[in-house]
Amino acid sequence: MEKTTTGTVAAGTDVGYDLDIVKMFFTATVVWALVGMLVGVIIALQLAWWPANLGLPWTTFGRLRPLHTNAVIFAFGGNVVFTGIYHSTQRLLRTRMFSDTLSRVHFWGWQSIIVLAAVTLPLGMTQSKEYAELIWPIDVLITVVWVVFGVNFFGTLARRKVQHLYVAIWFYMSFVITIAVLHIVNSLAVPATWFRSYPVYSGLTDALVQWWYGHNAVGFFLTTPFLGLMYYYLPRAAERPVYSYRLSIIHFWALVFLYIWAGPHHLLYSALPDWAQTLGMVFSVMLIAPSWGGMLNGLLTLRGAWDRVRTDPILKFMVVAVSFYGMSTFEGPMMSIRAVNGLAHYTNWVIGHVHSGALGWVGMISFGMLYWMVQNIWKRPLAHPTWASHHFWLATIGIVLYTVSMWAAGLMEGLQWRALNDAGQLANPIFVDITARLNPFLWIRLLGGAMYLTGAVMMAVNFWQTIRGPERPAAEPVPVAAD
Amino acid sequence: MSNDQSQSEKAYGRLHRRLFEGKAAIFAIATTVAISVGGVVEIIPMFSTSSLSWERAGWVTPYAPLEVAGRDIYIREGCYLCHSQMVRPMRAEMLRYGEWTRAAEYQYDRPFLLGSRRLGPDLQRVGQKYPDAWHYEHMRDPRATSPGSVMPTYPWLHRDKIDPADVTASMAALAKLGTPYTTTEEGAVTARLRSDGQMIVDNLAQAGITAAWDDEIVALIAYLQRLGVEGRQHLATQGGGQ
Amino acid sequence: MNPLLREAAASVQLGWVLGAMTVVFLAVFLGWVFWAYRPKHRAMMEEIGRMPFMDGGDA
Repeated sequence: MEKTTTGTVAAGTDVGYDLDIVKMFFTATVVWALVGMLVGVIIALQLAWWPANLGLPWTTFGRLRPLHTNAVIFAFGGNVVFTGIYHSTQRLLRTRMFSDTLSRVHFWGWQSIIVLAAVTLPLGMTQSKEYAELIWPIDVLITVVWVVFGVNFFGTLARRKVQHLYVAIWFYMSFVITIAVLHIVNSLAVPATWFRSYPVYSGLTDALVQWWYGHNAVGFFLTTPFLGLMYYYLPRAAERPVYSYRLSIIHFWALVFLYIWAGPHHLLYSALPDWAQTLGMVFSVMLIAPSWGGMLNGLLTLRGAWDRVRTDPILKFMVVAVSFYGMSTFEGPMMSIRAVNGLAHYTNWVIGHVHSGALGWVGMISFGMLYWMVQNIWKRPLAHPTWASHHFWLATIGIVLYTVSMWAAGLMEGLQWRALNDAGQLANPIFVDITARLNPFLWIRLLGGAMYLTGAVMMAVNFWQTIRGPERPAAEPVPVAAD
Repeated sequence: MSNDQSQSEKAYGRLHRRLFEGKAAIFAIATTVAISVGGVVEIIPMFSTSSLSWERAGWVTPYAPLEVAGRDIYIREGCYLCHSQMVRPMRAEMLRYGEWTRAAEYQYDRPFLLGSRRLGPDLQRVGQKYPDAWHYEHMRDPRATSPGSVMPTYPWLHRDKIDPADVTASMAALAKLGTPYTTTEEGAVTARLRSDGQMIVDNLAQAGITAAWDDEIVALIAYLQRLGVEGRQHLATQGGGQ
Repeated sequence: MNPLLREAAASVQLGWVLGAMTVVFLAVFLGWVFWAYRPKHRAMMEEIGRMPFMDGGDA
C-alpha cells in the first residue's frame, strides 16, 4: 500500500481504533448535559421566584450556581471535547490511542472529579474563583488526570502514522497545554484544612490571575477545542473539505497568541493599573479578526451545500453554532471597550453574552457532532429523525429568548443604575427596585432555558432508542436524517 | 494486514520517527510560547517590588479572626455571585456607594471577591451603613428589611456555630502567606473571637435580639460591618480624589 | 536583585518593550502568512485539508 504524507487508508482497512472509549465519553456527555442544564433551569427559576431556594443551605442559588457552571463547562463541555478528541485524533493520526489504560484512567478520573464537584459545591466547599471553585484536593486530582490525558494524547502523536498534523490536532494540542498552565498557576494556594485554602496571590493581583484564567478557560476550554471539532466534523458532515486550510492555520496562531492578553477586560474601571486594563481592551478588540477567520471558514465550507443545510439537522446545528460563534465573538470585543463595559459590566447583558456563546456555539456544535457520531459509531440510523429537527428548533428559539431577554434586562439595569434626575441625584436610589423590574425578563429567560433543556432531553431519548435499535445493514450508506 | 504492508509500515515508522517526531515537540513548544507571552507581560509586573506598592498601604488592617470567619461564610454561601465589591470611579456609583475602591483596600483579600454580577447592590462600602440588627434581620428575611428583594433566606446562619479551631487553621494559613498577624495560637484566637463577637451580641441585645458570640450570623455581621470603613475614613481625611 | 540589574530593568521603558515585541511578533506572523499562501504550497495545503476523508471511509 502506498503511504502519503497525509496517510490515505484504503476503505475497509482495520487500523484498530479504540471505539469503546469514544462511546464511554459520548454516554457521559449526554448524561452530564442533562444534569448541567437542569441545574441551570433551576437557578434561573430561583432568580425569577426566590422561594425556589427552599430555605435549605444545599439548594440556595449561591451554592447551585457554581454547580451549574462547573457541570456545563467541565462535565458536559469537557466530556464532549474528549469524545471528539478520542474519536478524531485516532483517525487523523491513523493510529490507536497511545494507551487504553491511560484512556480509561482519564475517563474514570474525569467522571470522579465531576461527582466530587457535585458533592462538595452544594456543601459550600468552594474557593470562590469562578470556574475554579473546586477545593484544593480536587484541584490536585484534576492536575493528575490532566497529566494522564496529556501523556496519552502526546503519546498518540508520537506514534502517528502520518506526517502532517491536521489543524484540528493543533487546536486540541493548544487545549491540552494551555489548560494545564492556566489551572496550575491559578490554583496555587496554601491549605488551611482539607476543605479550605487561600490563594498565594492577594487582592487585585489575585483578581488579575483569576481573570487571566477565567477568560482563557473560555478561550481554551470552550473555543479552541470546539474549533478543532468544527474543523473535523463540519467537513465530515458536509462531505466537503474545509473552505481554506491556509486560513485555518493562520487564524489558529493569531487566536492562541491574542486570546491570552484579553483577561483584564473583566477588570475595567477597577484600580488595576491603566496600562493593564488598556492592554486587555485592545487585545480583546483585535480578537475579532482570528475569531471571524474561523467563523468564515466554517460557513464557507458549506458553500454549494446550502440545499442540504435546509434538510439535514446536523448541518443546521452546525451552521447556527458557527453563526453564534461569530456573533458572540463580535459582541465580546464590543463589551470590552471601556465605555460599553461601563454600562454592561455587572449586568445581565454579560449573562446573555456568555450564553450566546455557550448555548449557541458550544451547545449547538456539540449537538451537531453528537447526532453525526451516534449514527456513525453505533452504525444505526436515528430512531426519530424528525425529533432532531424539533430539537434544533427548540434550541434555536430557546437561545433567542434567552439572549434577547438578558440583553434587554442588562441594558435596563445598566441605564437605571446610572440614571440621574435634574437635581443631579440618583433617579433610582433604591437598588432593589431596579432588580425587581427585571422580573419579567427573568421569566422569559427561564422559558428559553427550559426549551433548550427540553430539546436536549429529546436528543437523549433519541440516542437511547437509536443505540438500542437494530444495526444498519453494512451496504446502506450513512443516512442523512431528513425532517 | 498483508506482510508487505506491515513492512512498509515499519520502514515508514522509522523514517517518521527520525524526521517528524520532533515536529510535534516543536509545535508544542511554539504553542506554549504563544500562550505565555500575554500572561507574562501582564501578570509578572504585578510582582515586581516597585509595582507592589500600588496595592499596599498602612491605613488598611488585616481581617480580625471573627472577620476571617465571616468572610469564609460569605464565600461558602456564594454571596459574591450576586454582590460585587468594587465601587467604580463613576458619578452614579459614588453617589450610590461612596468613594471608588482603591487597590490597597484589597491588600489582605485572599481570595479577591470583586464579583462579576450585581443582582444585589455593591457591598464594598457597606460597613457601618446599617446597624447590626439590620443585617441580622436581613439574612433571616431579606424582604423584611428590603421589600421586593429576590435574595434567599439564610436561617441556618442563625443556628449554626463557628468553630474556633477551624478559624485558627485559617489564620495560620493566612499568616503563612504573609498576613501580619501577631498570634495564631488557638487560645488567643478564641479569646479574640469571643470578645469581638460579644460586642455584636450586645448591639443585637439593644434591638431585642438574643444571639451568641459564636453564631455564624455574628461572624458574618462582623465581616460586613468592616467592609470599606478604613478606606472611607482614610479617604475622608485626604479630601477625596487620589 | 543585583543593583545593576535593577537599574537596567528600571531604565527599560515598557513602551519600548511592547513596541519591539509588536514588531517581532507581527513579522513572525506575516512570515507565516506568506509561507502558508506561497503558490507552491497550494497543492500540499489542499491535500492536508482533505485528511478527514482519508481514513478509509470508516466512521
